[in-house]
Amino acid sequence: METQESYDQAICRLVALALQVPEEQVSAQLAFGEIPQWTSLGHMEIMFQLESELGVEISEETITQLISIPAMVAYLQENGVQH
Amino acid sequence: MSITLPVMANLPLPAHLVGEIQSKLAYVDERILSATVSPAGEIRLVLKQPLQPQEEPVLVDKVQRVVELMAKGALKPKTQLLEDFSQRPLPYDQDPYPELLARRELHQEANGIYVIGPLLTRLIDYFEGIFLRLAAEFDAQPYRFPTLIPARYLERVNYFRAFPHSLSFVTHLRSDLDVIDAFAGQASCDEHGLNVPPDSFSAVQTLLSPAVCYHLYFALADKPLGREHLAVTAVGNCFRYESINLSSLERLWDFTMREVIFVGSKEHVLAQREQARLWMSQALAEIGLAYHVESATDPFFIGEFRKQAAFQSAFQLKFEIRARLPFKNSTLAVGSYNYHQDFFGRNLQITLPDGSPAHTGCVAFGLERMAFAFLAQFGFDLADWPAPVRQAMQG
Repeated sequence: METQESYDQAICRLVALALQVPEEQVSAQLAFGEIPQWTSLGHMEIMFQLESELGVEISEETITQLISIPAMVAYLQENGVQH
Repeated sequence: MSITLPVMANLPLPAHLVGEIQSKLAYVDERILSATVSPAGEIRLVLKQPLQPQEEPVLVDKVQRVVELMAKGALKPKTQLLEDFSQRPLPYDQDPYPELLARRELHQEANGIYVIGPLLTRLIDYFEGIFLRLAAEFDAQPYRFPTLIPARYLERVNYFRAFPHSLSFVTHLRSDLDVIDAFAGQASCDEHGLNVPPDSFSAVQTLLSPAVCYHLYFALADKPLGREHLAVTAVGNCFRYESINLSSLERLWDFTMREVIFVGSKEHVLAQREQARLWMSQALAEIGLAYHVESATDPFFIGEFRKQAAFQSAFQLKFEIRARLPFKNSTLAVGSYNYHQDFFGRNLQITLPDGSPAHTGCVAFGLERMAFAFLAQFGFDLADWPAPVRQAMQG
């Protein structure tokens, strides 16, 4: 079972990749709108990255729920998604 | 001599995107006269002239690029229906456009540009009266905004990226005596338009405004709002170039929009938007307009469409008032209820008293479309019109 820390790290890396920012700019508490790159477009890039890398099903409900890294981590853990 | 070019889409087309893809094909090539897309992915392009052999694969490649960018991985939106009064009884089912032309109530100056006559003008004034009463409900302050907008304003709110295809650019002759003299002496129009050397014109610094509310946000930009919330109303000419999709009063290049704009906290803006919708529902019931209100997305350009539309849909940022057009068994968006989250507050540094970025929203009505939809539903005989409209027109 993956640890909390490794989920955080994986999601931070995924978000940094999607938003094309250095990983140092992405903290484990980061949320939508808190850095300039996490706009509506940036948010969708993250969603599509989650979909392609982790096989997470992106629905409209998912889009509105996963608006922070802690929310993403909790969602992945609840749904038993492996990374 | 026009020719037809069939193209088979190279991936399955989601049903909800067929219309949107069809409209975006207008921007693939200037030689396209019309484009139709079937749910099965059969695309038919009618071209102004035959292509050279080497041009066809280039054109087909562009078409497939549109299809791929818009359709691949697209999310099926969950359409939310907020109101449904589309089955209200209506006395008319003809296209009012030919009748308007015949009565000289409409005169087409060019594609998407019309002179509007007395009947339509009075109808537009009637609907403006409704919208002004709506604005008064919110003590909206009246403003007048310019028709021109600086290019750097639209750049700052990512408009170039989101809607490049619909922009209308403004320029003028360079302030050079020789250039101006040459223009005065030689300018003429040919079948393509004004026949003038391109370097006669200044760099483009200004565009025709595509919306009304942007002007307010820029007027408020880079300073504290100074209050908890604000409501403003304005009417203005808006310009959105829609290429071969320009059609009658349904899709104008130059149209008029009345907006009521809200600025404040998220809770405040969403509450105002909802209150406006409920008020309009009552107003439209008094007229008997047949319409429904459903979630919608803006016509983002091809590369942006998939992501922006999905986001807009997921967060329920936009709802459209879609009036029934009986003559074509379809609907026409005559207004919209929009919520922008804190997009303008963040990008334009509009801050609330607590220091947080302001949220904004607007309710917007297309005046020509509203009048057109009314005529499409009730026709030209005042005896068939709802009493409030008839009395206003006869008064």
